[in-house]
Amino acid sequence: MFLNPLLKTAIPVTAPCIAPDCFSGKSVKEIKALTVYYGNKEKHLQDLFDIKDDGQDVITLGSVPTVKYIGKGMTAGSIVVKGDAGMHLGAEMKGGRITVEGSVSDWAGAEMKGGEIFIAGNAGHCLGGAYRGSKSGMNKGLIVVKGNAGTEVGGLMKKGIIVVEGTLGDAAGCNMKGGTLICYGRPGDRLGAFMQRGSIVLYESPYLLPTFTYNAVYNPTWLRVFLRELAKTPYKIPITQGHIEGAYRRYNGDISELGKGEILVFQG
Amino acid sequence: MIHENVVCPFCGCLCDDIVVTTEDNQITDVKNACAISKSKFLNHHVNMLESALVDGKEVSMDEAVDRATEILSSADNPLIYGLSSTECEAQRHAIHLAELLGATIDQTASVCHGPTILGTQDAGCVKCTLGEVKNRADLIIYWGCNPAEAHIRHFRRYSVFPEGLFRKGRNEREVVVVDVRATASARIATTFVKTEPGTDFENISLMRAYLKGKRDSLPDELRDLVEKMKTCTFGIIFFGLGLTMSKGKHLNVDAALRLVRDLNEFTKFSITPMRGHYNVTGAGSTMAWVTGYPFSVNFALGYPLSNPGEFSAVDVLARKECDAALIIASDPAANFPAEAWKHLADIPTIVMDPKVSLTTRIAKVSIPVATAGIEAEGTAYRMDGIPLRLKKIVQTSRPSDAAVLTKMIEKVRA
Repeated sequence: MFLNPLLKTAIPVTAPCIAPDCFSGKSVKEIKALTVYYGNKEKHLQDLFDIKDDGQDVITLGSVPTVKYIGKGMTAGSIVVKGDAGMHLGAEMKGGRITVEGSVSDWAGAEMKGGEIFIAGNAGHCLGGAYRGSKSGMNKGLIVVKGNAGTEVGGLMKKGIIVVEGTLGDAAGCNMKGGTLICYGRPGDRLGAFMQRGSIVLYESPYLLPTFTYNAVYNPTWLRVFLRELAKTPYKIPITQGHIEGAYRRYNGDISELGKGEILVFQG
Repeated sequence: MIHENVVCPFCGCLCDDIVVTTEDNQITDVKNACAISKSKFLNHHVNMLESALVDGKEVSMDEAVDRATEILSSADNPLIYGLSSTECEAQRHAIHLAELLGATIDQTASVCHGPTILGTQDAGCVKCTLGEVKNRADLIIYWGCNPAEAHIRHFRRYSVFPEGLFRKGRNEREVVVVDVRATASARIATTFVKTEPGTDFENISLMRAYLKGKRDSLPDELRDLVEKMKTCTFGIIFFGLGLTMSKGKHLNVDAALRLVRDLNEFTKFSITPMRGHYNVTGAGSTMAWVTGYPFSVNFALGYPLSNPGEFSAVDVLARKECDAALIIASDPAANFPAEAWKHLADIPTIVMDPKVSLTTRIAKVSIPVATAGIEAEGTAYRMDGIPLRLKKIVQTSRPSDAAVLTKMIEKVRA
């Protein structure tokens, strides 16, 4: 199914119906009649998109930077965005795969519980994070960002993996309770603020909070297995043999909280 | 005529002991008030918006309200913003209007103490009233705020100087000011702790680690401060925009709230934000009890959704997501970032304000209203969450905010 956007303004469109679960079993006519919101006006999907059945199971969209909640709560199937995507992409998704060829806005993969999101461009704030007042953010699943990511990436993260190949904004992994956050670029300040558990793996030197304490230089066994498995994914994550076998400096924190989180900084 | 126990509609202190004298419906004298309050009462008639305007032309009030309602009803994504300098009944009507329109509604906390609300949602908040502070506190900490210039009577009425039940005066209280520079407030402090800009989060985190016994050493000033906090009988932290609007924003507040929570393992300790506009606390309370959320609420889907960053006024304007705006008792054109207020100038903006402001100058429709607390009565919430009744001390032909909003609601429903 190919959805070419007809949107001319910056008015946000709320379209959680753009998900394989929702399209599944429906005719093109039924899909065209699905309800979306253009600002506060209720519309049909066909009012905002030129919809063509290309015979594929994959949902393909043009550039949709103002469309929110694409793939929300999806459990299976695949979405490809041929450009930028709006807020809450793949929020609360449980399975399937979303590929974005451009950049995404804030809260991509927020509170996701499974599945994979691949972003070729940059990601906004609160990637894989928690909504305000929630107890936990991302809980299982994989997010790979080829570009940079905004602030509070992986906030309140419980399980799952986030890989950012560019830079990270401030307060990445804040309140983290589990899961793994890997960054190949320069991480922002206040990394792992209030971190309780979980792992942050870095390949550039960070500015660390004074509430993280140095432990040792070693090669974590779990990381060797972890990186080998991650290298098998189709996302061309730049994992080298050196990364797998090299030494890492380990810091634990945030000691103003539980202090069982770890930051591993690649030493070579 | 002498009006006693008038509540001042200026800052979050909501001083309720003001004595106002009026002659021929004019305020002629104000007693007990600070310089700012006195000026607000005595000059409330200066620079008034004289009549309703549409496209800069004088029109009747009904025509202006009709035009405003037309603009808002036909908008795909209207924004309602302001609220903190009006009373709670008007705020309630504004929320009702937002629900009918499917609008985004936000209050000024999103550009001042919004991070305090986010921090409270994360960490919870140990609160007390200003009366408890006056009667019991023996350690008063002002962190990142300057009440000597912003909340002028705070020292005298609630914290440092008043005679309380168990604390009889200044000598029985220790006052600490933590700030990046020695402000006017630092002059009355027993101890002034100077911090580097943007290091509050690190300092508070270190203090918490030390308090929990997970760190042995601390810079001397911070160690002394922690020891004072641990050993006091009743401590209070008042914090301002130095915490909420510096690097880290809600994480700074989150850390401060957690510090106070940790301190309650040792002694009684509370924390209160120094709210700016006199009813910004009321705006949060009203929005919370009507919609379930204190700020940045959107009704586009027919039910309330809140997400600061997504539905906060500055972000909505900067991303050019709204196509009409209603500004109530606020002047965003004077204090929003350029890209935000420029969009406000590009779309049809409606302003309800007693005075001429920068926002009325860029507005399509301007509606003059009565000044709440002087020309209209209503309820306002003090910075510690205590509701007080604002008085009407001057008669006016202008309608109140609540009356104008009620008319708009009737027209939208018709």
